[in-house]
Amino acid sequence: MHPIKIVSSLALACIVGASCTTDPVYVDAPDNLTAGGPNADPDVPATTTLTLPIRLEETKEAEDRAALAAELGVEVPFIAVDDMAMSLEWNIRNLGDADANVRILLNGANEYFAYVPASFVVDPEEEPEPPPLLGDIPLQVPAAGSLQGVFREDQMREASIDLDLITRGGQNPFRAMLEIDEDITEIEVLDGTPIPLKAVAHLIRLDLTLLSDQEVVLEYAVRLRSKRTPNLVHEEGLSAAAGELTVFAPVDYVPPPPEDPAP
Amino acid sequence: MAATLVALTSARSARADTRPVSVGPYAQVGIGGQAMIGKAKQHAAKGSNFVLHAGTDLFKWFSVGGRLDLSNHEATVPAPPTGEYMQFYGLAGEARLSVNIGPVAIYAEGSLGYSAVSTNILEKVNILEPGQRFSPTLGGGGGLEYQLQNRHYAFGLGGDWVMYQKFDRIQAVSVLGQLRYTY
Repeated sequence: MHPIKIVSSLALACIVGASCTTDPVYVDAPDNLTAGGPNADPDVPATTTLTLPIRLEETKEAEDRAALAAELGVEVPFIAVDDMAMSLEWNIRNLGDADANVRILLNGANEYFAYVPASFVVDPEEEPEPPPLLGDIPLQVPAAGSLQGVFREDQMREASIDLDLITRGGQNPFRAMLEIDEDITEIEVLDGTPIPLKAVAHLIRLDLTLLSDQEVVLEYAVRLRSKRTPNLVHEEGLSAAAGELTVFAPVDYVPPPPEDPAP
Repeated sequence: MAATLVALTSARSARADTRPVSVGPYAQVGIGGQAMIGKAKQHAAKGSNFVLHAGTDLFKWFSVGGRLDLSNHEATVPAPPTGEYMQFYGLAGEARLSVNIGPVAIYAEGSLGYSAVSTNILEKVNILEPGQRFSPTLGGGGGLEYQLQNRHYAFGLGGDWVMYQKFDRIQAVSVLGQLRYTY
């Protein structure tokens, strides 16, 4: 092959390759989260919420989604679990002069429901609160030091599936969290139509809680990779004008009351 | 003995000086390293750089063409995130002046073009504005080339400088080993 043809082919391959990749978009936390300070109320955990900057849905996408919903017989979300890959990287700085025992709890919401573990507790003295979607692992941050970690893409995907299992699937949260559901093809719904994986919703809101016995600061950034074109994440991220972002209105999921034992 | 050496050297020099060099359409590939300089230095690690050139020699000493640049850097912005990489893609038109001294050519070139960056990670350090991914670029460089016996091929070592006008005017320099083919 002629060298000029080789170079031309290489150039074309580079341009095509560069334009076809799903490059990540980083969403910086709007605020850092501080916990365990001298003025902190130990009964009030430090929490923060981040709603993902998702662009508006195009007319064609809405039509396709409605057609798919009619075909499947279930609601189909704008952002399905495999439409996007998300990870959250965090950094905890210990401002105190003693080692800090820290826990990060990650909950969140999809387009339909928000997961609030306390909603599952009828009697706080008798029942433990179910676990969060992710986290709640004891971490030790050295005095005046820092610790970094990440909630990986596969963990976030599992959390999205767990949320839909618990809410639309009506599954017990303890069971959903303990089982690995990454290979499921559908969510079984009691007395209802199963929800296929392509209709399982992705997390669109993250609720972080930080618990610590020393004054610590949590900084975090979310990394999003859209698997759909055009990119689901607004190019201006959280700086986008309000009217250019999809407004989601998930409701806090409240499980149905336990059935009365048969008389 | 000395006379023989002088004779041999002269003969070699004479052959080298008369070494034929193709003039016409060319293609060139360069591979090397790139480093940010100035205010971007602390936010991007040294990375790899790959450049393709294609164009034509209008004269033996003057060429015009285009170039495609790819570079890859680890972002070293304040954590989080850490260990993330970003790529710069550039497309530019260029002009080149060269002076041949025997088998060696000294060249200088300038370019104007457009670049894109793959991610928004530099927003964290205010190098990028929200939503900004493209920038005009201004570049320049120079180097040395050695013409092989084959009239079509030359090896070279070059250095490039580029400024990304809209990316807060950050600048980068690169050093590249090059192979040039002239048709």
